[in-house]
Amino acid sequence: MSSATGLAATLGRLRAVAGLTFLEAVRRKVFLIVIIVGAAIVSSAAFLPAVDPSGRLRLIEIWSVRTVTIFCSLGAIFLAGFSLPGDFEQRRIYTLVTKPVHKGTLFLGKFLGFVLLMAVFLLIMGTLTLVYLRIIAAATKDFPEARALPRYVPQGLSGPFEDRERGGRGARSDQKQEVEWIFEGLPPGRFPERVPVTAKLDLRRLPGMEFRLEANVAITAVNPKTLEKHEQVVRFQTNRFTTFEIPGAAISDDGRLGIRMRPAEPDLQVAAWPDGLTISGLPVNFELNFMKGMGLILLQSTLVLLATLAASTFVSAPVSILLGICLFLTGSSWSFVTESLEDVDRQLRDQERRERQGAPARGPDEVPPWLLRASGALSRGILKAVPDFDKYNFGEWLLTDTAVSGRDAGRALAAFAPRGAVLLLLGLLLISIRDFAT
Amino acid sequence: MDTVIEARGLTKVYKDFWGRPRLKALDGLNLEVRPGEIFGFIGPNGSGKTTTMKLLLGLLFPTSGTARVLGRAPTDVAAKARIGFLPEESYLYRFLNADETLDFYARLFHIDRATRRKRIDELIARFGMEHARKRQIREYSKGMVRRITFAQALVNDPEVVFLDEPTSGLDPISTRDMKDLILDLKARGKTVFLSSHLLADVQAICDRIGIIHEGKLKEYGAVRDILVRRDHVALTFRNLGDETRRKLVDIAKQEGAELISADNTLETLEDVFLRTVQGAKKPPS
Repeated sequence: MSSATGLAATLGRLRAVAGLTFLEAVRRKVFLIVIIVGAAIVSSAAFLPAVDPSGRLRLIEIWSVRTVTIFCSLGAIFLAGFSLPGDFEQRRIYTLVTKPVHKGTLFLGKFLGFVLLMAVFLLIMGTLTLVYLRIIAAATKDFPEARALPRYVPQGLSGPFEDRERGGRGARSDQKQEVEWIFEGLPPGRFPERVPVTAKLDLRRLPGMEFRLEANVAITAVNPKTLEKHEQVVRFQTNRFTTFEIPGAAISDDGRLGIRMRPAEPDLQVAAWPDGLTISGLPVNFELNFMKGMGLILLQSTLVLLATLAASTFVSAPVSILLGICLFLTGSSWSFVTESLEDVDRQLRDQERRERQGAPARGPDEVPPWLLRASGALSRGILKAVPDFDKYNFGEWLLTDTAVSGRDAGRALAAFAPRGAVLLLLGLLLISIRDFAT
Repeated sequence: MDTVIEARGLTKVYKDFWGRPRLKALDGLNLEVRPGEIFGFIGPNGSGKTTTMKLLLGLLFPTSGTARVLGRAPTDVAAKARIGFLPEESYLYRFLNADETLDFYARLFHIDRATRRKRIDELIARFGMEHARKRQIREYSKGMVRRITFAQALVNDPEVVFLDEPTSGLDPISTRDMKDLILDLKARGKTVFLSSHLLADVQAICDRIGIIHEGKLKEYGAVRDILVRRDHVALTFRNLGDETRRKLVDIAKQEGAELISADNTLETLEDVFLRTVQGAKKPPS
């Protein structure tokens, strides 16, 4: 095998191109400027109004994570958008592809260089934020401890009635019967004496099932092994997270737990969903968890980077940058679009119902059904192609003091991997079939 | 190997966005370049020189026909490992210095660190860049950039070197230095494919040439075979007296020859210029 081919040679070239890409950003001061501006924005959180030390902690955390996310993603879009088109337009590509370098190696090398750049950026910004938090904590009286609690989700939910709202996976109970969340495989010794529980319910008034704003709910935590029960009544608001505690003794030594709920008032039903309740374990290392969160941001930025870089193999820098920004905005507004789609479906169902009843299908100010269906189909297609960036939105974890679990990381990776692979292959294909006429 | 570079029926038609033919830049080019020769490729602007070179380097895909370099397709990585390319303009990373530039390109050839260092030192010295090796390329003069671009083309000690307008934008001293370098490459057994507008340079250093016009090869062969006028003879003497010259002219006329000129020979302007500034033969720093 000649020195020109073979895995070692290809890896060597990948390293050379990736190293050059990294060095270019450093030498052009892009990296330094982004870090200085990012650090300045993060530190400006101290000057933002905050009602109390706890609010200030949240502000710093969220301000930092949002800044880092936006800088990382936009940095990736602009650096990747200008990189390959810059090589094409400035014709540096001539001195690259006339060397024993596959065009695909060039694409991969650039990609790895930018990922390295983003990883270093996130590491630096993450460290700066953590140091900054420590300084603020030391200088502020009653500043709360930054915490990361592992959250555990139930394996199942059962109840006497099915609830068709919110994906049709819910269950409802009345005052006589209960809904029950079942936990299995909880790690022993990882829970405090009083275990925090966060739950969200819908409260429905009988017989018409209209929403009720507030009501008392009877809660029973059951140890499935000893059948020991711990009962309490908690005030809930409809569709709002409520936190209460159950005794750690309710968790059996083989890691099982049951939490049952029913309305504590007459003429009421409670509606619940499988992911509407979590329990928290003992806190994990906050710094380590913060870096895990940076990892989630890296995944999101890598996806945006790949889309921009793949586009830049075939279209100009402005167009590829625009595509990257579109992906970023669509992924960031995924939940909003999903909720809008539910509204569209509801409107379609209403129109069909009215039609069946012989009434006019739509009112004068309603959109025609064909347009609703077309826009719904288009939006669904886009939502399939673009992942929900909430999976990478570390700020959501911070707001609820939640640790990034293996399951969270797995979901983020599962959303990333197929899309990343498709974009990577697309970029490799596009660059391999293009030539350099100009 | 009898042929280092070979083109057979090489045709390139540029198309527009919709795939419709826009321009036939090259039309059935046949060409062979032999080992160890300097082949000059000349033609006016838009004649197809650059397109030919891009096809031979794998920067473009041909519409039809084939190109082979060192017996392989131009896009073959194994072939690229044995060639060097000096583009018409110097397309380098301006934030790198000379050392870093050469090291980056050498790493693309998977050359080990010790060999890289040795070869980079040699090239830096050969191109007279020792004083500027740690300065970023954006601070270089045009001549310095040109030299470092030439150096990157030689970083793999290539068997075949493609040179596109190597003396473009250079002063006479640097131009002469470039020509010496090209002749030095030939002396070391390298094959050179030289594309240039400067006919005098091509005539001075090339073994064979091809003249391309409107995408077609119009002339092709050894420089002397193409340039020689078989019905014209020039004799050059030193210390020839006027009387002797008259006698020679008379003899020639008696033999039926027509006298076209009987003048003193001229030096080339380049020779005079270089002699005048001989002290600065080495490029100034």
